Amino acid sequence: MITMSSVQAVKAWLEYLGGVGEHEPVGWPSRWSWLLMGIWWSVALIGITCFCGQTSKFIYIDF
Amino acid sequence: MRSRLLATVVVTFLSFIAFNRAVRHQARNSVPRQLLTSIDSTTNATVIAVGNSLMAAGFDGAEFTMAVSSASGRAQALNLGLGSSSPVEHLLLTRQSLARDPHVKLLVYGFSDEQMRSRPERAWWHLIGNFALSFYVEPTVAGHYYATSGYVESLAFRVVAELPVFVERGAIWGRVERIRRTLGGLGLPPVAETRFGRVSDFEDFQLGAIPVSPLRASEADDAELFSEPMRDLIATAQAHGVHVVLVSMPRQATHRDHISATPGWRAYRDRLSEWAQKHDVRIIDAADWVQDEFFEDRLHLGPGGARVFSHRLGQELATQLR
Repeated sequence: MITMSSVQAVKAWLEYLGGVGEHEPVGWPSRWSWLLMGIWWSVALIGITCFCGQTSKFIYIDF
Repeated sequence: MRSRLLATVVVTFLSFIAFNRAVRHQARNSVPRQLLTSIDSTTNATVIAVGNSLMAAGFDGAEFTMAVSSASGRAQALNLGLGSSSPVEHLLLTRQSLARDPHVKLLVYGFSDEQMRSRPERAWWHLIGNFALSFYVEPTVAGHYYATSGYVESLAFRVVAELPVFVERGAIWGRVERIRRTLGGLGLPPVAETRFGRVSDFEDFQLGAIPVSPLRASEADDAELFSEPMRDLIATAQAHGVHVVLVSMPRQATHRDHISATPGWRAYRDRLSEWAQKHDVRIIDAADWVQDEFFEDRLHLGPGGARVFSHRLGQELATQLR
């Protein structure tokens, strides 16, 4: 069951990951923060790379 | 705090390196790399066919060889046609082939419209897909045509050439595009596709600028007839003792009618013929060799059309291959 507090917890996590909030959210594994943030940045970087392509009708399909 | 940030940057950097390796692995069988493998594994080709997708789709090496043989000639043909490419990539493939195979006697270059005189206008940061060849096959040569503003741009070209994420991003985007098209086509009738993409994408597509821009009489002999990489391609072949044959590739009737009515095209064609006679280059006009029903889209010959074109080309060139 989704409660208001769980929505707020998710919001706090997303805000911290997105750089909106400066304070670690409740339940954030402080010890592994450097690793989690590194993975998060990597996922963001790879996602941007995959989806930033200009749409072209002539992107060839026989790779 | 600072050490945690540094650790995060290190993790991201290592992930980026891993991603680069993954992209390189994914692109290991890209179309240009398959062509390079063909060049490496062919050591007895006497004829190389060079050009863009019109040549890639239109040249049937087996049919060509058969036609040459039936006219008492001997040929082993290698199709180096590369879709969505420019004379820069054609030059690079030619250099690779001639450096590896001393048996090549004939280079058949397929062109259409103003392709041979159009300068490479694409900036190097827009080189994706098959153009990526320029980054990993002799980037110093390719950089001469694409990175022309000076040392800094030339250096940037060489640096990004080492980054698979940049060089092979077309391989990633191509896959994303396929997923997008698959999702976009759910519940809809299947769309006709060829090896070059959706048939409908080529409906309004015409190669080269039409009407053809007029020639200036004051230009030096071949300065206006050919772009720099095209001139270098012909010179490279001739320096290796290879005869060059320029073939105006088959096009559909509407396109032929359109371009032949252009005064600029007629003037270009006449000047090209004069130049070819002086420089021991043969020109073959194959634009009307194949009927429209043998095309699989607006531009490209289907397998049947490729056989018709290649057979006749073989007959035309047999005397040069005896």
